[in-house]
Amino acid sequence: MQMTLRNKIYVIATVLCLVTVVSSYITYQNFQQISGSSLRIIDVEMPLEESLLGMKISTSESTRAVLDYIQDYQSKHIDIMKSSEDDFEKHVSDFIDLTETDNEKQLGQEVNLLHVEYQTVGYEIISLQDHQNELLLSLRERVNNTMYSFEELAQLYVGSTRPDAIPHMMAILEMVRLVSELHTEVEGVIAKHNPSFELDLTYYSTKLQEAQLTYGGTLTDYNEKEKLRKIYTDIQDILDKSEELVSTTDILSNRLEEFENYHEQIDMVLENEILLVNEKKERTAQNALYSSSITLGASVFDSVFGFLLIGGLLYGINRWMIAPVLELSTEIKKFGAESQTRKIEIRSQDEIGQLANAFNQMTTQIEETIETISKNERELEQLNLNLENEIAVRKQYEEEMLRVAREAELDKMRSQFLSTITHELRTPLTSIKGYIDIIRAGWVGELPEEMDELLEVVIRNTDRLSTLTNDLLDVQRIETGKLDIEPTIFDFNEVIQRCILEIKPFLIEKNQTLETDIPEYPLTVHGDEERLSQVIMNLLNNASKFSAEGKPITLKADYDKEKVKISVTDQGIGIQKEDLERIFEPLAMIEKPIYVKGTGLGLSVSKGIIELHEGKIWADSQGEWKGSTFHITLPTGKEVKT
Amino acid sequence: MKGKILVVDDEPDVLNLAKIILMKAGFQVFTANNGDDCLKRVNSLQPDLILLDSIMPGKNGIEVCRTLKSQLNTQEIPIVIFSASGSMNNKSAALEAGADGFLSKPFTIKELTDIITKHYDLINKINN
Repeated sequence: MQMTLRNKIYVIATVLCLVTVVSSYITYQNFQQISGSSLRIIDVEMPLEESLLGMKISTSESTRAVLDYIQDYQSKHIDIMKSSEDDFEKHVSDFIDLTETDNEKQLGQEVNLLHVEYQTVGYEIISLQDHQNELLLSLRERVNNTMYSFEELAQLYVGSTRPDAIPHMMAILEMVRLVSELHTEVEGVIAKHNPSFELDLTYYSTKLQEAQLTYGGTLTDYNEKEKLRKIYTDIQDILDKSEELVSTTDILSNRLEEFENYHEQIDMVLENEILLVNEKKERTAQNALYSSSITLGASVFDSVFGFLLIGGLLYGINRWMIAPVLELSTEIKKFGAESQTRKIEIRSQDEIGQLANAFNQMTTQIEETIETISKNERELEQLNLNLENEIAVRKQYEEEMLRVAREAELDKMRSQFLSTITHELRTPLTSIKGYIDIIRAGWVGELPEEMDELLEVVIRNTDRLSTLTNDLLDVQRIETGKLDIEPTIFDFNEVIQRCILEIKPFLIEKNQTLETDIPEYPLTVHGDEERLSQVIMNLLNNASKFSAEGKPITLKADYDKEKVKISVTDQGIGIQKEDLERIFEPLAMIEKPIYVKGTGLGLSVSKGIIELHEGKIWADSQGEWKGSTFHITLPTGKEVKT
Repeated sequence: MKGKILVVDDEPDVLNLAKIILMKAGFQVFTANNGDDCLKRVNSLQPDLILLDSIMPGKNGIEVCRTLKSQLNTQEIPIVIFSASGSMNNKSAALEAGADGFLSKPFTIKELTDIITKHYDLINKINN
């Protein structure tokens, strides 16, 4: 059969019901047993004990009554004794009726027999006591009579002159003394009920006989003799009675002892029986306790078994139903949290087992899916990484481009600005220079020589302005690398000659001379003729500008180790050592007031041009006011492959 | 009387200066103060040489030069561009646009007269 959850629950429920029924039955049985025992204790053992106690009490009452009677002879004690005996008999018959065992019945009869004996002795004692009492009364009467007789006798001798009066008196007194003593002794014996006390009656008998003889032997008078004889009879009677009393007392004493023995025997038997009954009762009680213990045990067993069963049931439910479900849910949670391989151990074929199986199938599918996804993710990550790298590279490239573009834009703006400035400066210069040119050409009329000279100054300064604007433009171009050279191969001597012609008016004006040291042969140079001419003009201009009037300028040019070397020397203000390199930097002059005459642009333009030709330019000076020399080296035309 | 020269410049002073110098040199001088004006007049005037300022508002000299050199009826006219920007690049641009000569501003009487005469003579020799 397929053990589905429902079937499992049915099985467990059925087992639980069966166990409950059995447990209830056991408990019921035990309860019955215990209640039966309890009832028996109530019905049998208790009345038995009661009747036994009743016997004991009535016996004691009987004994008490007998002893009391001995004390004061009242008939009520006998009545009590009788009713006690009735009670005893009643209790005995009750006991015999109630008891179920033969032993106890026998015991009841034995006790009853003992009690009859006891009773007999009791009555004997009473009759003995009565007899003793009669004897005692009789004895006392006799003693009184005797004493009276002695008095009568003694009266005979009182006041008598008879010579035997005194001995007679003496004898009589002796006899009175003896009787009285005897009487006291007897009374004592009876009062003491002491059988062991032995009264020496022989002594009294002998003494009284002696006294009688002593007295009587001497008597002569009949009357006196008669009286004495009568006293003798009485004394004899007293002696007899005393003897009988003593023996009665002895018997009584024995009987009392016997009586008490019986009482003790009865008591002992009853005590034993009471003990037995008690034992039996206790045994029954113990049985009851045992039974109740069994019941309790059964209950405990029931409870424990019930708990175990319920525990088992719970365990079963937990083991087969809850645990798998919990495990399943835990696994599902873990699966959700860890997303790693999770397989549930399938322990049963029930619904939970099926669920676990389904879960396992699902996890397998999910794992496969996750595997695929993570594989895709890894690929995607790789792609992303590549893409990011590419983007980074592109970004860098773009930034570079942007930077270049921005710089280009800035350069463009700057060069545009400079072009505009230059244009705007040159346009008025064009007009100034042009119109002065027209005036000086004499087209508008003859002009005096002095005016022509003045206008020449205007022209010269206009040229300076023009050069300045050119230099500004050139500096900017060199800095941005926009200065182009148009190289050709030419003879540098020609450039030098043109420059000398051009500088001449300036030299003349300052009364300066130019000495040249240039070769006859051509100095072939590969370069931009106009730009190199610009450099030479700049150097010559500077030499003139920074020298005092009348100071000579020297220009040298020649080949020098596969190069063309040109130098311009002056005797002007000189250059401080630390400034030898700085003077080639743009606007260097602005920082040094001493070079205030220069714009600071010419030398940097010259340097730029020479460097574009892969040549060198530098300055030498011995110091301030010691003149300076500017050197240029240029590659020769021979080196250049055209 | 020498031939007709059209001088184009947006600066009236410069225009006038060139006119004075060239008239003194014996040319018939006509003027235009911008590129469009120049292009309008060139067909009817048919000048022997055009002296063209390179930097002007509107159509600049380089563009005008390129236009003139691309038209059949004007491409034979020698063009000298003169410029106040004074740069070598400008000169290159001018020559590239088809200009026959280049002159930097400021210029001397001799410089202007020389370059105009040179190109005028050249074209006259070819024509003759």
